[in-house]
Amino acid sequence: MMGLCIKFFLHILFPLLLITSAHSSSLENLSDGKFRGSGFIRTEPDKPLEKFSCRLEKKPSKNVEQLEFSGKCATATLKGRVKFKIDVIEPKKRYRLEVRIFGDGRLEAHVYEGMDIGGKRVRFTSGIEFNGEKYASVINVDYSRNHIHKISEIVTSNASGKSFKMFELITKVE
Amino acid sequence: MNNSGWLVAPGLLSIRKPKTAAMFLLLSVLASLFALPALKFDEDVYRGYSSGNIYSDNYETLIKEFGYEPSELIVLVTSDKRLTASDFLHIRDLTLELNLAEGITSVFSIASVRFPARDANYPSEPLIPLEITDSSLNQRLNAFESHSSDRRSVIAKDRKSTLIAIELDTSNGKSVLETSKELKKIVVEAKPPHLTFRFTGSHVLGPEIVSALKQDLIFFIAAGALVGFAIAWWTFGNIRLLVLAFLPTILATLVSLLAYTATGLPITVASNVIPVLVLVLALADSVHLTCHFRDNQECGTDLRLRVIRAVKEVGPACALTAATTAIAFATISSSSNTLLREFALTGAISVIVAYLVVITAFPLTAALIGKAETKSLKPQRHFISDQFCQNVLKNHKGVLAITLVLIAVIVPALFRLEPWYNLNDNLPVYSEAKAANTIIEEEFGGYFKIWSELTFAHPGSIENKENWDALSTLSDQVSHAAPESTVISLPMIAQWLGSNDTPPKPDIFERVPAPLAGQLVSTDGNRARVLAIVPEPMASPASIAVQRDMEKMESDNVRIIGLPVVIHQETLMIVRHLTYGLAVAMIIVILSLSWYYRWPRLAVILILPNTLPLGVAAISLHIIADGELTPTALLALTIAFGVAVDDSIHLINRFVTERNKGKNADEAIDVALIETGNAMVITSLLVCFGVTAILFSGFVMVRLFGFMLITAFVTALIADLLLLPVLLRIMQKPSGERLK
Repeated sequence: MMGLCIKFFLHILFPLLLITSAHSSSLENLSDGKFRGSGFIRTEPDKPLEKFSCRLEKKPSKNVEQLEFSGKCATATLKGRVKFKIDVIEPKKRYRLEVRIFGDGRLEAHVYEGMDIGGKRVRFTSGIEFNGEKYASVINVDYSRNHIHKISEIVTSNASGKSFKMFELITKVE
Repeated sequence: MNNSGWLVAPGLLSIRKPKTAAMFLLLSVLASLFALPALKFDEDVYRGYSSGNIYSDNYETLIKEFGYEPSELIVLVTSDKRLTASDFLHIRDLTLELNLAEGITSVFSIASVRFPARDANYPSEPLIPLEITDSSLNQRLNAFESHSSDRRSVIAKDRKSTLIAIELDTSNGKSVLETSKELKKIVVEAKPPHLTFRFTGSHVLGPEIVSALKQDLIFFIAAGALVGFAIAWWTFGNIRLLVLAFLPTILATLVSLLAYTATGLPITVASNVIPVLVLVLALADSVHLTCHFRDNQECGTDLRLRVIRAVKEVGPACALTAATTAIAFATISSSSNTLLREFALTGAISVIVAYLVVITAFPLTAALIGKAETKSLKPQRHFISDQFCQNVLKNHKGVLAITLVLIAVIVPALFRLEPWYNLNDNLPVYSEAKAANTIIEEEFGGYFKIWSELTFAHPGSIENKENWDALSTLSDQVSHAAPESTVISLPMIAQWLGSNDTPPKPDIFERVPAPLAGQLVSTDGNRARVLAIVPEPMASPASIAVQRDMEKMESDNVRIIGLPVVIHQETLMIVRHLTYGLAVAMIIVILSLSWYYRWPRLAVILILPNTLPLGVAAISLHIIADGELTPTALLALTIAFGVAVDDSIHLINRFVTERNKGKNADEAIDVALIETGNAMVITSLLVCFGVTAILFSGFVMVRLFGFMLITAFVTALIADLLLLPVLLRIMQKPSGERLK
């Protein structure tokens, strides 16, 4: 009886678990649904941190090579609509992130190149400007099981080499 | 049918063809009962301020330019002690939560405020940082207050209360009422127990007003009916006569409600008093008819003959009283104000409908109650004796002297009344929003937005130095005119953000949030505005002074726009229209009566007994309302005139009847006073006690309306019993004129 159970586990359930695990262990296999996030943000590298909240939704996409998140983010002073579009360049390895922020009648858009660096983390990098000064921006997207649970950004000044944590958002499913 | 027969045609028809009349009456009552659930109640306190004058047109044009109607839900956060750091963090989190909700344009709270760029310690930092302790909070608040003239907009001086202003998005098609409910839920769910959250804003007021209106309407009708029933019972002491007086009244009140459903107009704070007025007026008519029916000994026990005589002899007076009251209502429609025109229309229709029902139902009810014994129809109460009549006529010089003294007191006092309107009086006294509004006005300098709009000398460019200097000057003028108010302008913002350039560099303007920028500069760039947050214009003498100073800034290139301007100017206009309306009502009614009785001198006789009571009621405003002449007070005076003249009509009617029977003036006055005086006293008691219910209204302005009516009715009764007989005697030649 015990042998039958072990066989059943090894031959049937284990492969299934592997498939599920493999299926949800990459960014492109994240579940659809709504989630909320809260954390902190700074509007410019040398400005103080402020409380920050978001309500986002990952909508179902027909194109398996593209993920779309949209929603609202706000501080006590500012609020805006955000849209993240992630294109899968090479499954489980390379991605492209397009961030669009629309607030106060103005639109900002940035494009990042991303790489799965293991440990269920994808790192996106790009160059960015604040008040005419150039910075290297790194966005880390951490996911576990089939949901993103943390997004954060660090910018480093090209001129001074000084780094600033620009935002950190911890999310949970609604 | 004689000359006045057409006035009582429905009553005579009801006598001749009772089945047809009963069927018609039954159908009307059924229609009213079925229409009752369709009664609508007005929930928009600002609806009265869109009468199409230049001030409301300017405001509407501005709203169109914004692309949305500024509609705020304001949350007043209060605590028994000073707000702590954890309270502010809670308000910050709540601000974030509200910012993420659907159906809003922006949220502004203490957490949204930033230090000016020039601050030495916290340049451009949020007032409430990510983490904060009580001591660091105090340091930051002290630093902020040291160079902020805006502190009254976000936190009270005692730091025990603060505001969260939520701008609702009125352009997305979602009901703002629904959005308000959802936002209130978010706020209440997150509320710490020691903080009190009160809500105000136009979309919060509606449900409170509707609920209070419904309570008032039911209470007015129930209390008015109960009081009327009690007085009618006390008067007649006979169940048959009670039914005869009361049944037509109830039917009249019920059918008159059709005025609202047939016109599709909602019941407003002002028009809510019409049903109870109709009830007491219908009861007064019924009592006059019933008194005549009871007291007419010439007809013996012939009920039909008694009914015919009552309808023919008292009916015309009832028709005239209904007409005078309807005229009083109708003259109010000369106002350009929507709410007043609705009040006038529903009032005039209700009064006429009520008369028609009473005059039709009276003969039917008399037939229903059956044959009464002559004994039970004996008069029960006497208020006016022969001695009283003799004393009045004997002391006519004394009566005239008192009248002259009254005129000398009233006339100068009338000129000291000031046109006034307090929007808060449209809210029930127990309203949470009203309490919040009062605190906001006292602690935060108000919540009404007023824009001073400058048309640039050089169109199209705010960066032109001359334009910028003119705008800076206007901004200073507004700050000076409204020293206690929050003032927002582009020059002030530029300075706050650290710009020392005149004009500042364009990137400064890009940092102004779009909804605010849209309110401060026109879309074509040819005009710029200075925004001030001010108290309700007529909340206090100080607030009206601010309002007047602001309005004085109007010039060729500066316009003052906003709801406070509309409220102030519309009030002045309404008071002016209603005053003219009252004068017109007096002239029409007095001339009509004079024409009806073919007696030109009657016009002169009627003036004093019917204007003095209004004067007395008006100057009572100095005692009960600080001399504030509100549109409500003028409405009350107009309606009071229409009703108070009824007693004069009944007295004159009887006087004329007796004169035509050949009696001389003194004899005719004696008979008129004794025979009609009793009914006048009873009906005045009825009307006064009936409208006493209004004094217990949830609305201050409705209570004032009731007080003014009662004062005018009581004074009118005294004038009709004392002054009118004296004037009749003076103006009527002893030999007598042949009257109609």
